[in-house]
Amino acid sequence: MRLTCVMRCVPQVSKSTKKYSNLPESYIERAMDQIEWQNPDHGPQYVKGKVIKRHRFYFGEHRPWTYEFFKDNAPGSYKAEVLVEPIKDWSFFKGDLVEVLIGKDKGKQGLINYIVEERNWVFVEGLNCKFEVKGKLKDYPGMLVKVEKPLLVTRDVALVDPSDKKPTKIEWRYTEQGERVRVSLRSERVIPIPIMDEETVDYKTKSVYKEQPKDTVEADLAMVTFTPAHGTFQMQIMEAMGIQEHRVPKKSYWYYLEERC
Amino acid sequence: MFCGQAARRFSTSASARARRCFKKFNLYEKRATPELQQNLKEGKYPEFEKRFSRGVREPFLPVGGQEFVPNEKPAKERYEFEPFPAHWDVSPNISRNQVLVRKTMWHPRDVEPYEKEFIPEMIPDLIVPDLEGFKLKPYVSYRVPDIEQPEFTAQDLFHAVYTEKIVQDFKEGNLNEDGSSKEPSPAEQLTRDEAKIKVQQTGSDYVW
Repeated sequence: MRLTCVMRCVPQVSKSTKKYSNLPESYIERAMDQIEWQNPDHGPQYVKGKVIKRHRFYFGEHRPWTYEFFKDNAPGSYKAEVLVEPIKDWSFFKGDLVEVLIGKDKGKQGLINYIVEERNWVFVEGLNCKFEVKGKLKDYPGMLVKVEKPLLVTRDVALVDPSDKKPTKIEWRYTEQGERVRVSLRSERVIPIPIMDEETVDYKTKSVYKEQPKDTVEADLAMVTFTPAHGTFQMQIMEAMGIQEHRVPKKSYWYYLEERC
Repeated sequence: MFCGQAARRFSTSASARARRCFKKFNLYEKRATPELQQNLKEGKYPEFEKRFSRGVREPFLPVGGQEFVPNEKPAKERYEFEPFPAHWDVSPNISRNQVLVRKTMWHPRDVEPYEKEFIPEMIPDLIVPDLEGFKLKPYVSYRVPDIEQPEFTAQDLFHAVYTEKIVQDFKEGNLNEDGSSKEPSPAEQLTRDEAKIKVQQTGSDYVW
């Protein structure tokens, strides 16, 4: 198979994006959907499940459920196909210390603060930036804003070895406890996955999540209120309500045909 | 081409189908002439309100078990003798010597008015459990770790009901040679048939 064929299969919503959104997958699908025509459910004249909709999306730096993403993929618009190099194991996470290998910030190190796995992109805090003028009017010059530009994971960025702070290649290995870790090939040291990776739209880390009035607290959730007792559910209800029944039902039997026995 | 006298047509249905009402059922309460709105407020047309009550059943029944008496006259004949509401489109049909009624807005029911009685039971009363002191809420906090609970099996139920008594009897030497208790508890005395009867006494049709 040609490499381009593989690369064409790639652009779908990535795992890391779904994880960050903290949304149900079905919601993301629905938010992205651009249905031109869908057959109604009823009626014999309609073929079931026939849909005409957009299948190929352009993934930029915006999240798929946002309005900006919709603007990138405006109905009726066309964008040239982007080929993305397939990566077997994604090994860059939010909060990782990386060194930039290209551009004017070459050799500088910084923390990853944004990931677009669909495009193999990584944004490094304060590095590889451009300046944008925003809010410019006739009588107002506007504001200069510093914006990070994406860096390709396969070419432009390398993870930093924690022991000597130099860029290395890494490998995924297993510890003796069966845990899967990243190991630096430079010094054979484990590069732990940072806490920032746990961040989602709803919380930074689970432990510091601020509980909302409609959230069930752990103490209430873990409490066991079930006590096993003798008798069926109906019998227990009768006992609790003080209902007594002295009539004895007639005996009934089931007769089976020989074949069934 | 048209020839002869010029005719101008108008209808009230467009205003009755208030513009937003794309399903084309008429919204009389919302849009009407000021005169008609006044009349509706005063309750001059009780039948009118009944017809457009949108499916909500009134909590009334005919007094003394009366039944709805349909008017036996065909509707057309009745129109000649009854006074028409002002908003009807009424015009004489000269050739047939009749009054022609265009049912532009509503159709009177073929039902005689009857005496009715208020019945409170016809107002639905939803009985909802009291959730005061109930601590479970619609969502689970992200802080809660995954809770794993093993399945509750028949063996667990056996332990809950019998085991304690058996252990106690064993320690005190209250067991017979075949393992049964010398002083059995009511749960231990229960036979299969008795248990079956107890289940069926609840009204359940469970058979095994």
